[in-house]
Amino acid sequence: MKPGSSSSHPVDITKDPKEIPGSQIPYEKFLDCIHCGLCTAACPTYLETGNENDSPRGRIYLMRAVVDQRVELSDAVRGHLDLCLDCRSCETACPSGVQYGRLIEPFRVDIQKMDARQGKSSQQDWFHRWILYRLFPYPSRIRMTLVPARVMQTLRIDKLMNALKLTSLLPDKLKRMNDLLPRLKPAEPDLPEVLPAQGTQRARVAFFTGCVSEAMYSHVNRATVRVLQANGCEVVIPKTQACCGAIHYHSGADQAALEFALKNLAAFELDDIDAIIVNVAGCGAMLKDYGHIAEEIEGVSAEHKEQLKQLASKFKDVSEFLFELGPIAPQGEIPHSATYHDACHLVHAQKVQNQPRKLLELIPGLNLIPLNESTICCGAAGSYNLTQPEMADQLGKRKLKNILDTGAQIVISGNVGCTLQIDSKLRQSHQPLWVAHPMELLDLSYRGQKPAF
Amino acid sequence: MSPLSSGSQEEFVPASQTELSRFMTENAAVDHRQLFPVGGRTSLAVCCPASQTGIQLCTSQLNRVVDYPIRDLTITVEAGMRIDELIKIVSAEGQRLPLDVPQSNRATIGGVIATNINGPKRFSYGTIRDYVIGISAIDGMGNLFKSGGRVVKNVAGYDLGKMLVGSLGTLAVISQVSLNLRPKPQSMSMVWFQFDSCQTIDQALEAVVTSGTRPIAVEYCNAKAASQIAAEARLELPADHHTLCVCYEGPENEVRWQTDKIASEWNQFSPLHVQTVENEEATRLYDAFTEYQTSSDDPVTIKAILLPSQMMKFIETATQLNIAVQAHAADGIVFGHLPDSASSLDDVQQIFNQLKTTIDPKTGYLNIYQCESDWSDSLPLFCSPPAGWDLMKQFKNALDPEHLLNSQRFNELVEI
Amino acid sequence: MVDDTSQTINLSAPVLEKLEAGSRPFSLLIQKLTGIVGKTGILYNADELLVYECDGYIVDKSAPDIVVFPTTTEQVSATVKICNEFNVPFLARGAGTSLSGGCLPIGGGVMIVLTRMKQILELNLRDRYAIVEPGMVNLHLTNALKGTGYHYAPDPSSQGSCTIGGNIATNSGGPHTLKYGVTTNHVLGLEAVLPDGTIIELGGPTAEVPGYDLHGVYVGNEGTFGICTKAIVRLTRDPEAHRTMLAVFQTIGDATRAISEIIAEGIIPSALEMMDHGIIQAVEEAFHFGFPLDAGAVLLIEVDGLEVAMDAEVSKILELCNKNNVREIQRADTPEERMLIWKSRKQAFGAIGRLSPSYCTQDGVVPRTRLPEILEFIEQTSAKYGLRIVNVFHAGDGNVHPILLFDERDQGQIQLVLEASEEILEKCLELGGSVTGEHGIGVEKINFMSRIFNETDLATMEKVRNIFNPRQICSRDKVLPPHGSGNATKVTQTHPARRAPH
Ligand SMILES: Cc1cc2nc3c(=O)[nH]c(=O)nc-3n(C[C@H](O)[C@H](O)[C@H](O)COP(=O)(O)OP(=O)(O)OC[C@H]3O[C@@H](n4cnc5c(N)ncnc54)[C@H](O)[C@@H]3O)c2cc1C
Ligand code: SF4
Ligand code: SF4
Repeated sequence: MKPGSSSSHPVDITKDPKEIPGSQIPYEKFLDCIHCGLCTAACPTYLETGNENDSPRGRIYLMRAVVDQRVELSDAVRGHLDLCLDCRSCETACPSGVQYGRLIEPFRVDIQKMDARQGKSSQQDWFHRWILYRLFPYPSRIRMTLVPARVMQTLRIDKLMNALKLTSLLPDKLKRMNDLLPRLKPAEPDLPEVLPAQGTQRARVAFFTGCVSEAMYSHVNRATVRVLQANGCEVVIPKTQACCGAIHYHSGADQAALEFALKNLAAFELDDIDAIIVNVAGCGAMLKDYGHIAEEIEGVSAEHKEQLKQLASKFKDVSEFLFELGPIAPQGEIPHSATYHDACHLVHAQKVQNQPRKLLELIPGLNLIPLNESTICCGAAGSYNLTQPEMADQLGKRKLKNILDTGAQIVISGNVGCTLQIDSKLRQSHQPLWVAHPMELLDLSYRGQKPAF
Repeated sequence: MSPLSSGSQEEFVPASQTELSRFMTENAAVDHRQLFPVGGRTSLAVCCPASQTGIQLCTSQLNRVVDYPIRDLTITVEAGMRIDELIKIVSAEGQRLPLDVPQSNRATIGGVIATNINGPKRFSYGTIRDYVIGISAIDGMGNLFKSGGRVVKNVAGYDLGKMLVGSLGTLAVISQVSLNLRPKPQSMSMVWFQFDSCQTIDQALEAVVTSGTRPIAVEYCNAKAASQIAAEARLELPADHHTLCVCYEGPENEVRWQTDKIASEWNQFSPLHVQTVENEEATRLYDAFTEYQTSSDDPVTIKAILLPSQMMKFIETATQLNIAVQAHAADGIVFGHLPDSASSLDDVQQIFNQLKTTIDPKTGYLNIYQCESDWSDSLPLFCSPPAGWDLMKQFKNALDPEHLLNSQRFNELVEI
Repeated sequence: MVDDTSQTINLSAPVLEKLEAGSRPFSLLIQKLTGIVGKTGILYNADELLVYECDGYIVDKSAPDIVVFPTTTEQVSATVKICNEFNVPFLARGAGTSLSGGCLPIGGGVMIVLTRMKQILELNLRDRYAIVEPGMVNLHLTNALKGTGYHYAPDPSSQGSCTIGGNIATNSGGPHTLKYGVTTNHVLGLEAVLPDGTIIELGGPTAEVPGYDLHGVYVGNEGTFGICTKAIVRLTRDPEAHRTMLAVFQTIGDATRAISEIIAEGIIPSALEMMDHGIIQAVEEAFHFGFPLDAGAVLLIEVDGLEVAMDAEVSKILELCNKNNVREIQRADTPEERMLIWKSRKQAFGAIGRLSPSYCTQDGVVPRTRLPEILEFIEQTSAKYGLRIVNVFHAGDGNVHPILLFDERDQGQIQLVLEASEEILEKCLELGGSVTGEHGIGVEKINFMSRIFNETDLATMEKVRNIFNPRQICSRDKVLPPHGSGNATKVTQTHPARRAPH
């Protein structure tokens, strides 16, 4: 008997497999789980609720039971699956090599599709239609949308609105988005297509700019490029690159995601670059998964599958790449205490954990204080913040507490989503900490400048 | 002083565990006489007041080694095995039971378990509960039962050995024990410190918590006890003040490094005197500490079990009451020998009452450890009921339903 | 699941109510329990109970009728009292990593899940103890102690997720037990709700308490003595330094002799993990660590203590390994090298997953010097049944974990695995050992109890169980076989567990 199954599966052969979410997932992937439970305490949602249904082992059990038709996809079951952050902390903890992401993601896509067929698609609501699909993939549009916010912030009208509780008049989700908005820096001029290496050229890399990050954190992109240059990399930035497609894929729009992937395939010349550098963990995880995803999406040609697999293998997180290249030690002192938060999509999805720390240790004067539960999700998790506000808040508070316990002045995060979340939690509790990307600190140190915050 | 003066107690000396079991079964069925398991008779005055009538079950013939697979570092012996005998056997193989037993030439392993005897090393090595891996015993009805086994790691079934630890012969007669052994260390040294006050001692003890050294034992004694201990060890050691004596074991370089280190760590507390004692002398001093808890012929010896952080308050009062105090200081275990001036039960009661004011009843206990046999009928062993006392009574009823095993004593453990 | 007719044979356990979903008593019970733990603290719909039908042992399954998540001792006590009022069985569950079916709610009933009671109530370094709630994850306690110079010593391989309450119930061990002991050596006292709902305290924060050592008796009860609601545990000083070595031996015999001689020398390694020929091959196939494929045994040796003592200990160990024909030794002196060596040990299980679709881990103990014999026997058994069996285990205390590889889709192989496991455990007993070193009896090994213990032993254990749990209303049918011959009220084993690494 397998964990989670009764004697045989599936029970009801008359049921159309299309009506059973997850039925296309290779069954061996469920079998990899030996039900040992070593993953439970690594799971943020389980840590909060203590309910096995909200644990990785429980979710695998539930998904499998749905496939085996031992349970219906009831609202309760769905609720437990929806609560999953897809942070993949469970994968890191699992001794048995369970690929949890390759279970929950296709499973969710199936659910979304079923919903669409039944006309109750989340893709139909205004939030998904307008904000997630029309806005997010396009940095220029986000930037445009942010103009009023920027103006408001500059004129302090936002503060006034907050003070007058006018923001409470906004729809809930928009309000949450507003709460998340960081203190925006002025947008930087566009990056050129090619930037030369400093000193002897050691590598030629392409740079993936990302949509949200280019819109809100263009200064981080600039810093990243400068750090790459300082390490002897020539950097090319193809203009035709597109959004990674993660948001679309995760909300069930797999065809849209595929289109983005193919656009990127066309945009990057794989032959004459050593790597494609990504500085947003969330995008990096998606991009590195192009190969797997191509396998799961219907109607992908064999040729495209192969090409996407190759493309996927070229993506490198910036810390990962620099560490492998052998970083040139920066000289400028940064006399502050800092703590490093492990973005899920770096540590769990990409197994990038030591590299950024090793790079940061090179910065003279920077005192790195270990963060308790550094690998537990901060609650940002893509659009999770908007779809599961309660859990997102609980996890945000948990992260905040751990951060404040360190007494550090700077929080370092390698992912835009985390940065937004942590920054917003810090602002809400009136804490003056700076949330920085590792590349920002390295850049300052290379340039001999001190942070101002 | 003979503990067996007044009551009438016969003796039964079984030659084997089955014989003992048969005897007890018969007793439960027919005679219903009170039974008093006795080993080396080192603790009888408290455990088994002489005023009581019944039969002593003497384990002196149950003294065989049942199994000693040397390289497995375990040994199985009958419960009447004398501690010095046991030490000799395992010592020949470079091994030991890392437990300090006073009067080891009389005490038996069964008795050590029943009275939960231990000494200075408990700080690092724990107590007998940590070394019993299997046990056989005979309950009040004569049932010979066992639990555990002969391997060091084993979780099959309930751990009945634990209930016999500290049971004072009131639950069952321990008949056979399997023990976990340890290799003998290469060398041992002690450092004798004198400090000016209880407050300084407290600070030094607090510093042990984060010391760079790993002491085997941390012993305290007040001036009165210190001079007796030094004399017993035949060593010239200053004893006018409060003494802390720290013990280290292991390879010589490691021990030396630690004795130096503790001296420098404690320098900030301005010790009045620091002296390292090594080799033969260290062994003598160590033995003196081990023996001292039972060695005195004072009328009453008390034992207090306290949180280490609350111990010095108690000791200060005890010292003022002219009690000779020794403590396994890092564990909060205090022994006090009452002065000869405490010559009546009233005096004793008064001293108790004063001492009790320094103890938080939720986290501290004051017990009688040894006393004049004439008084043992009038003094409860435990001055307050321990946690789980109600359950203990149920254990008594379950294993000795007819209350045949040292039962008067059990009833009197808390109240007289 | 429980056969009521055979239940009546068990004199001490009266028939308990079986809950009918939708019945009036059931609704009433839910109402009362909701009154205690609140709407967010209770589950009673089948779709949400499913995940509670088994723990780390997946052979047998039985879902509870209700799951509650209390947050205080008072809630636990009130819940237990209600269960008594309704005559419904109940049991505790921590993280559900038990490998012997300790959390199996035989006969259904109420499952009391302690994962929301996970606070540290007190950390006291001066007096070297911590008071924690039972749902606290083992590793979280040690994490909370980081930087203080102290840790909580018992570290089962599941420490990242298992709870202190579960550790106390199963008296958990782990890779470091040889030197540091098991859970019972580190529990000073506890608070528990007895099966009738009374709250009791045993032991305390002091080094000992007068009277019988009842907290000692409580540890290892496998959930049958009520619900532990608080634990007072001893804190242990961190070692100042570590040294780790990986020694490759030609034969198991050489490796075992080396271990004995190291210990005889007065060195108690903090860990001694052995991998046999079979697992070396598996690890090599999967990860290419560079072990010689014809080696008989690889031994991971770790010593810890004061820095001053380390180098001498290491050279002594090297000398003794050499004396016992070691083929090569790899040393790790930096934390990074140490991680790498441990990785080969920890990844052993990942390797097994790649070799075979299913595997079953056993948990036997032999006196350490008998390791060569038991391993030889395991090899013979492997040949006899045509099953691949590999070994990776805690060699220091003779705790073997033979891993039987098979394909669970083949009914024939399943039977062979069951028979082979049984023979191996029998042999452990014959060599003077035990059938469980750390996973517990639970429901899995209950049939072995009467082979290890005689009637009187079991009757005495039952007397003790009855002091705590006279009606067997709490975690019924665990640990002790129901007496009155081989009457199987138990779920009978039809399938080996496909289980996890340690
Ligand atoms: C991969 C893996 C490795 C393991 N390695 C080891 C190892 O090295 N050493 C080892 O000893 N074990 C090991 N185990 C077994 C298991 O992890 C331990 O037994 C652990 O102590 C169980 O803790 P838990 O919180 O998961 O308890 P659970 O599985 O939830 O419960 C176990 C038992 O304890 C009872 N229980 C739980 N909480 C309480 C409570 N508060 N009060 C009363 N009873 C309670 C339950 O009723 C049940 O009988 C391993 C298991 C796995 C899956
Ligand atoms: S750790 Fe892996 S194998 Fe174990 S329960 Fe979790 S997912 Fe399953
Ligand atoms: S992906 Fe994250 S939230 Fe989801 S089950 Fe795994 S650990 Fe939990």
